Amino acid sequence: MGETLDRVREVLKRLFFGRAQVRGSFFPPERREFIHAMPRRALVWHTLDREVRVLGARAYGKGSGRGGEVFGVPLGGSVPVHGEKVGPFSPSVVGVPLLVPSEGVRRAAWETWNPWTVRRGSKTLLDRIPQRRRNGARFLRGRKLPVDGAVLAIFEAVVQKSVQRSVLDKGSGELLLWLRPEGGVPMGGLLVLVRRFQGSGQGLAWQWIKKDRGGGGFSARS
Amino acid sequence: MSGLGSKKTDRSSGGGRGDSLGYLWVDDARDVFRGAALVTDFRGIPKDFRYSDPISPSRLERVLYGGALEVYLREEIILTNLLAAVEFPPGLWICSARELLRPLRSLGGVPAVLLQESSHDPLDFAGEVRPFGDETTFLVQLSELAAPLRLDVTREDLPRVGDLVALLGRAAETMDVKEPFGRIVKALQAIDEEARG
Repeated sequence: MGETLDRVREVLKRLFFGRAQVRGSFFPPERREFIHAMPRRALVWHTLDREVRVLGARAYGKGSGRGGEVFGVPLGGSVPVHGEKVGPFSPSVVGVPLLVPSEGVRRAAWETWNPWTVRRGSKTLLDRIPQRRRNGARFLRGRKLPVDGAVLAIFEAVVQKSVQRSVLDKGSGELLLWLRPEGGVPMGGLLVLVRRFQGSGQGLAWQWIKKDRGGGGFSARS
Repeated sequence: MSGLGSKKTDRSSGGGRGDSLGYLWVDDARDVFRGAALVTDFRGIPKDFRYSDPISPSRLERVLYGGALEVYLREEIILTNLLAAVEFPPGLWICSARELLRPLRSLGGVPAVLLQESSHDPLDFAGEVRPFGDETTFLVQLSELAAPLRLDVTREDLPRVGDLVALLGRAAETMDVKEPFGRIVKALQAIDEEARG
């Protein structure tokens, strides 16, 4: 304390170029206790330091994903992230079974595991869709068929016993066939559409022709 | 529960696998991938029919998968799942596109062929086979009243082309061997219409 007072005295002496002489104690003894009780650390306002802190908080918050409140400067809500989920194309890729035992469960599984599970075909759906046969008349190439009249259309590989219903599609010239699923696989034959010019059966008529097995020839059936 | 790798085989409904043909169809028109498998007997009567839901990859998926997307969807997703689901395995798989032939042969477990229309004049007799183009391509006359078909096989199946043509020839006596592809397309159209209500 004494050293400090001596330094103060020296400073004042220099300030007043020696014209003021300071004598005795710098502070009167009755104020000494009060002076001793004064805080020795002065408050310092760091304006520059505060600005640096704010800038640092912002940079830290954006770059690291940690909140700006680390520095006492909250940044508000979360940073928006763009993009979308890229999932696998099918659950089967990770080995999820595609088949389930009963029709009911299978249907439920479709709805659950959609999209892209493999579905079992509907037999009734395919039953409704006819087979088609194209007109092969242009491939006869002069061969004679055992038919009574002029050949307008000829359809190959038709199993007569299996035919449930047949319709000639006049637009495409194709024969639509609905076949019975039962039965084996007998020899197919030819179904010929002929035009008769004479006799009582004038007009268009269908005629079946049996195909000789192995010989490649034809013989009339009906 | 049966699933991948636990294929059930149903031969009780008549005929073994040698008396049936399997048709595999995959389409990617308008960036929508879908596929179907139809197994028929030699009259064309359906034995098994499976189809996949349409797959529409997003733009992002197209970018991320790049050039591998089509192969991945066609082979890994559609073909593999269809073959795993078929319960009545055929004696011969017939596909509609060249890029399906090799994966179908390797995954199907039985011979596979690509059968396409041709504009060639008819060959001399039914059952005739002629080399056509490269080593694995042939013209075959399966029926007497039709144009020959173009037949492609894998190198693996080259030694048994005669047997495959004989099998197709037997089927062609009672059915049009290419016709089921048309039925697959019509069936999927009907399914789409039903789904749309």
